[in-house]
Amino acid sequence: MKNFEDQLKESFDRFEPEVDPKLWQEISRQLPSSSAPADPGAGLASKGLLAKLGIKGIAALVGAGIITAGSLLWINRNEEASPAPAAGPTEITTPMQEAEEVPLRESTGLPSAEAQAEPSRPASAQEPNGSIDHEKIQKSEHALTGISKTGQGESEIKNDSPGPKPAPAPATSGTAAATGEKAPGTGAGTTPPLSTQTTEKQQPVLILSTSGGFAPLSVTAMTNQPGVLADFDFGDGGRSRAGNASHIYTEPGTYILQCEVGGEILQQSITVYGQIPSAFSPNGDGVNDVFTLGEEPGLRVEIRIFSRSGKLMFSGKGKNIAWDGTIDGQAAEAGTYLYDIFATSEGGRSFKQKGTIHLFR
Amino acid sequence: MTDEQLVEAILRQDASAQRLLYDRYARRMFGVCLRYAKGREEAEDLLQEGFIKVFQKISSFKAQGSLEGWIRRVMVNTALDYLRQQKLVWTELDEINDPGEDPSIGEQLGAREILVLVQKLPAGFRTIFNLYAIEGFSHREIAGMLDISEGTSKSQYSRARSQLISLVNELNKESSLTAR
Repeated sequence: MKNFEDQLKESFDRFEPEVDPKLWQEISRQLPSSSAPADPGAGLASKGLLAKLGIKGIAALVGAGIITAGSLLWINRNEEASPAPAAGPTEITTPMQEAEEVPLRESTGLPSAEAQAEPSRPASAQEPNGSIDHEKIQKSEHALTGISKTGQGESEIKNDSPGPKPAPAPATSGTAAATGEKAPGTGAGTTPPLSTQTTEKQQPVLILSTSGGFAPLSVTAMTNQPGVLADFDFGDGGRSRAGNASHIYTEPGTYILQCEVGGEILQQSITVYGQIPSAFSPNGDGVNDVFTLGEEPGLRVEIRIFSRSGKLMFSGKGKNIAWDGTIDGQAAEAGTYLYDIFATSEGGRSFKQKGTIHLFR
Repeated sequence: MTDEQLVEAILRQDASAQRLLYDRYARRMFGVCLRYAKGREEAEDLLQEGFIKVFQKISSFKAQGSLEGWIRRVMVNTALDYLRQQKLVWTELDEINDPGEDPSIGEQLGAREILVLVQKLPAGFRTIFNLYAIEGFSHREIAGMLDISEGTSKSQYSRARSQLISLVNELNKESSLTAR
């Protein structure tokens, strides 16, 4: 028998737990945000704390019922799907939230000016690898504006304050602090593009539950305009006039989903890949003996299949993934299994899809 | 896109490449962070800090090694930095010898279940356990990383191991009872 360590190592080697989609947004904000990249060492405690506050803010707002699905994409009209998942709604800061955040920040003992200025300053001293030059920062800034545009509320608060103030008002929640580092850090030079981006409030944004997946694919679309009816055209003949709408794509193809709301037309493409089977019967009769997605050129697919009790039955990645209904050489029981697909297209768009598959014997 | 191409793209300041790299490794690295953290929230903090470091230091990645290994090392270092801030006091304990036969982790215990047990260990045990048993560092290396003696690393490990084994045995017992 294998020793204890080897058994553990083996089981952890394949361990790839779900990551909260909000995390990427937190990370991408902190990345390029100032001319001196945030120092990972010294800033750890304070940033970690701020990040935590941010997450709480998110939780509070998401709790308000804006979004329940796990990974909604905030689609910006102008940007090609820079997926800035669920954290979006938090950007719309209400005065109430500001008020709540202020005592929180101060109770951490970090004077706001210091909290804002500190991460942007000492970094170059401690990380002298020069990997992030100015050009990159400029560029990433553009990338960032795409995200901040989806959430005008908070950025607006920042940029309402005239120029880079010496001590920015502590009206920022934890999430904003990351973005906010940019303003004081890089000075007046980089502030204008942000403020021009964010002068309009509540610019309509189209939100989709996914940017693609295997047919039959269920997509939920909504806007950031609660209570406002929108005309959704799913691009395959399906239409709906509602606050939010769900639709199932049954045929593979690339569809343009259009949404007209408040006189603006927003659109986003959705790619639907080949059929995902709902059942298979690994009995050797040559018919539906394996569960497979078939080959999708240009799509990198990872799939994991779990039993109802959560045990990993199968995992595969690459092309021509197929599960023959066995685990460790033994036939798996007939019943319902859950699959978890994670796929990335050559264009860099990725999607997750969950569903069930019936195994018949 | 291979890892090398991905790194090149990031160095070329291709904005989407960072995201690609993240998507490729976030889950696996979250698995690493969860092992070092005492809970999900802490693991998310570690993952976030870790990836920020990865992108900041990517130019120092040497293509001879594996990118995954390098990223993993950044994550582990992030976890150790975090641990250092907690200012643990390490003591050399008596080593515990062979607590009997190694238990079989068995089919019903997946990574998720074991993770729960690992997270139950005290931070020091957990760290040394991870570094030695999962990451595969030697006690000498661990001693250097944590600024403790080799003996402390060994004795802490033997304690951690026996504690974890008894937790696994407990769980195995429970699940065999419920299976009946």
